[in-house]
Amino acid sequence: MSEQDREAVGQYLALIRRLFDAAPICISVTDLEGRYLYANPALCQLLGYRLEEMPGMHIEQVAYPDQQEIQANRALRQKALAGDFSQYTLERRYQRKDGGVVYALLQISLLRGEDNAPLFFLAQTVDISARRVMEDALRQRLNELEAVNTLSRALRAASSEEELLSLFLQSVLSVVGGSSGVILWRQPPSRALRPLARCGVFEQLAVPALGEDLPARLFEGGDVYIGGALKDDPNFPPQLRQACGSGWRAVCFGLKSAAELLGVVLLLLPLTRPVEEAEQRLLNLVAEIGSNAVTRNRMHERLQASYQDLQREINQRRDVQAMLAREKEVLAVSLLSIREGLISIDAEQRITLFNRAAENITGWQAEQAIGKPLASVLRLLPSRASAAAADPLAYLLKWEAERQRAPLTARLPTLERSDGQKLLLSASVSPVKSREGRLLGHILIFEDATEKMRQEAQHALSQKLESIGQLAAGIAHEINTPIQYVGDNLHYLQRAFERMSEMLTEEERIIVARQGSLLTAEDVAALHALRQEKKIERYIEQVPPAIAEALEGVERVRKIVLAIREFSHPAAKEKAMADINQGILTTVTISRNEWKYHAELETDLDPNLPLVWCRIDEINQVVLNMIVNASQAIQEVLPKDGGQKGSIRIATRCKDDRVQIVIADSGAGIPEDIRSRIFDPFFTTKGVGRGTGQGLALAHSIIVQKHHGRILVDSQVGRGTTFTIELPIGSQEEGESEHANP
Amino acid sequence: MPTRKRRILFVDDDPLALRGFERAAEAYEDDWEVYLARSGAEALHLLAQMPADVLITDMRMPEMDGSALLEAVSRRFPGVVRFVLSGNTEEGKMLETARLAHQFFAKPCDMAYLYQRVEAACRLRERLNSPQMVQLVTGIKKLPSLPTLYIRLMKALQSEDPTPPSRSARLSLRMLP
Repeated sequence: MSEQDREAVGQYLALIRRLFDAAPICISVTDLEGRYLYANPALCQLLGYRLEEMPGMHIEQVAYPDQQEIQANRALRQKALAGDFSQYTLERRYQRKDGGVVYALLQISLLRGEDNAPLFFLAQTVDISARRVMEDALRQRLNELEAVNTLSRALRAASSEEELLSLFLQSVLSVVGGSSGVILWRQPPSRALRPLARCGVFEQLAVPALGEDLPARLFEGGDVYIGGALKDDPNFPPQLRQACGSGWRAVCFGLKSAAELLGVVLLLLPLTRPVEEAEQRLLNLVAEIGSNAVTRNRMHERLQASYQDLQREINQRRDVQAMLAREKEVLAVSLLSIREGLISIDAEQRITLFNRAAENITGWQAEQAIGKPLASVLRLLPSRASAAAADPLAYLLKWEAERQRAPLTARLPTLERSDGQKLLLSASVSPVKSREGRLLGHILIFEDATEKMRQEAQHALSQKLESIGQLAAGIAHEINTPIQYVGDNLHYLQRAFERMSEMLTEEERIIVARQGSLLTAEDVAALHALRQEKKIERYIEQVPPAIAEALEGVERVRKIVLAIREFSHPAAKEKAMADINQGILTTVTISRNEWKYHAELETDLDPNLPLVWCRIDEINQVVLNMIVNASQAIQEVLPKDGGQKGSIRIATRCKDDRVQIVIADSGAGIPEDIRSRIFDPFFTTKGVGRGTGQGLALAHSIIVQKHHGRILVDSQVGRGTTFTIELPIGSQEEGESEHANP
Repeated sequence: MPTRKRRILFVDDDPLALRGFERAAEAYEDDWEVYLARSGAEALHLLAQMPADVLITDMRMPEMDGSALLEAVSRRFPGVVRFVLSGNTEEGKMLETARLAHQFFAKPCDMAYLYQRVEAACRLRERLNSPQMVQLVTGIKKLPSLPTLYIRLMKALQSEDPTPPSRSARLSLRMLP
């Protein structure tokens, strides 16, 4: 190059320099290593350096300390140097001398010499900070929107709180660009925070429960906590800090529902990445979304639960209603078809329900009866009056009370049917009350007891006949024996009379032959011989006892026949004053054949015993049973062939207002273990054919239920048994007697 | 004409009954010697001292009852004809005595009838004079029942029109040996 050329170039360069210096755009020239050869005033001003400071500085000295960006810049320059391209554009950030950040768009050219060797880089810088801020803000908005959208969508898919939190954590991590995080959750009743949802390192990490004071420490300065190096963060326990390793910071925010802190979201972000204000804002937003989602989820769950409760309740009610309807149906059908008559009446005694059996029993039709007053349909005839009771309900209630007092003697009410026929009713009345206790009406249940009563009466009679039947053989024996000797004696008397008659005829003949003269010695001898021949002396001696014994036999038969008649006296339907002693003697007489071979029977009857208000035939029956039992108990202990007899002792005595009949035997006795069962119906220890197990059960029914008395048993095995029957003399039954004998 | 009077022993626990028997039997004093016992034990005692021809006993008695007495008599005094005269008409008892007694009479029983039965039984016994035969017959406790065919045949023969009434009867007759 000539001097002239050099000068020309120099002038040219100077011109360019002046141009560059004056240019409003930022221009710089760097060498191949990246040192500034030149920086124009515009650039110096942009970066805050004085003009003379820039040359010699390295471009990386003014670069924003973002290694990624720096590396990218470095790589581009290497590529340009390698000849991949000679011009390129990049966006980068500067750090001003005062620390501020400048966003810049650079257009860079690599200038090469004529030999194509690279000479230097020429860079044109445009300050795009304002645009970038706007762009960033816009992008941030978009990100936020997107994050919110993603979050909301994700969270809506959650079906449980745990799933929700897990989804939330994943979404938050993808929004902030992290990979590890954990949600520490309060699970009542504990106040400590325990991990609930985990991502990244926390999935393998044993995260300890954190103290409940953690949130207070974390959120002292604001809703989002951005920690320094986690390794040295005193807010977290050492165990956690060590496990996470170095190079991380903790970023935390809380999740709340209705101002109550529910848990803490802990995210791990690389220390190298600064958390900018915008990100903090995003985290705030995310925290709010998370809190809302949890709140909503909880409300939803509660709503769901209460909805389910409601549904369940509705179902239950529907079931109950269906059941009630069914039951009502069943009840209606049952009421209509039960065997007992059923009438329900309201508080005014009007008939509201009248079932089929009621129709049959009363002779009224339900259609006619319903709505009518009870008294006009149910015509009950009191025993003493011929007119129907004016108030059948009151009559039945009174009758029920009486029946409870004396179940076996209360007389059944008589019903007059619509056709005039009369029935005996067995009825029960129950009041119907509202829940508050107000009387709504009554239910009357009744049945036709006429047939039942008839059968019961027949049953009682047949029982009595049965007990006589059991004695029949013995009684026959008792009658047959006297008849035998009555007959024998009569035959003897007949013969005696014949002989006497012959004797008299002969005497007559001899006396008449003498025609008033004295008898000769021959006559006297003949008469004497005749007397001898006819055995007259013996007849004179024997006839009187023969007559007496025949009469005694007749008396015995008479007695026993009388006793049978007395014993089975069928007229005693009602109670009457009766002589217990006489009854006992009668019973002893007819049962004589049952005991006389095994036992001596001794009676010790109180002659001053008062008459007792009772049904004497029933009492006789009881005494008979006791005598038969006693005799059988004695037979059990007597040796089969030995000439011994047991003893039966029957005593009566009066004790205050009661009469006692004591029947003691020297029989086998009743073993302790069956003593409580002896009055049970059909309980028997006797062999088949000997006992039906009815005797003592019947005795109990007669004495205790029908006569309000008592039966006491005292027994010693091997020594004997004593039954004591106690009967009230009758004063307490005055009322009943009045009723029973109108 | 019997060489001696028959000895008749009445047993009954009822003294009135015994005296009744005694008086009624007086009508037959030419033929009978009447003895009385108030219990089974007394009867056995009497029999041991003086053998009787006929024993007539009641059934229901205290201590030793009729069955026990009949049993004892049939064992110890088999030559005695055993009659029962009982007021008891229970079937079971009657069956029981049928085994032990030769004849059963129910009270009340006419003494004339009793006399007739006693005489018949005694005459039968006298006809079987050999003591072995007496022992054998009186020792019998039960007789085999007659075959049905015999009873039907007798019935047919005794009927007013002895022509066999039916084919089956004819067949039965043909089966006779």
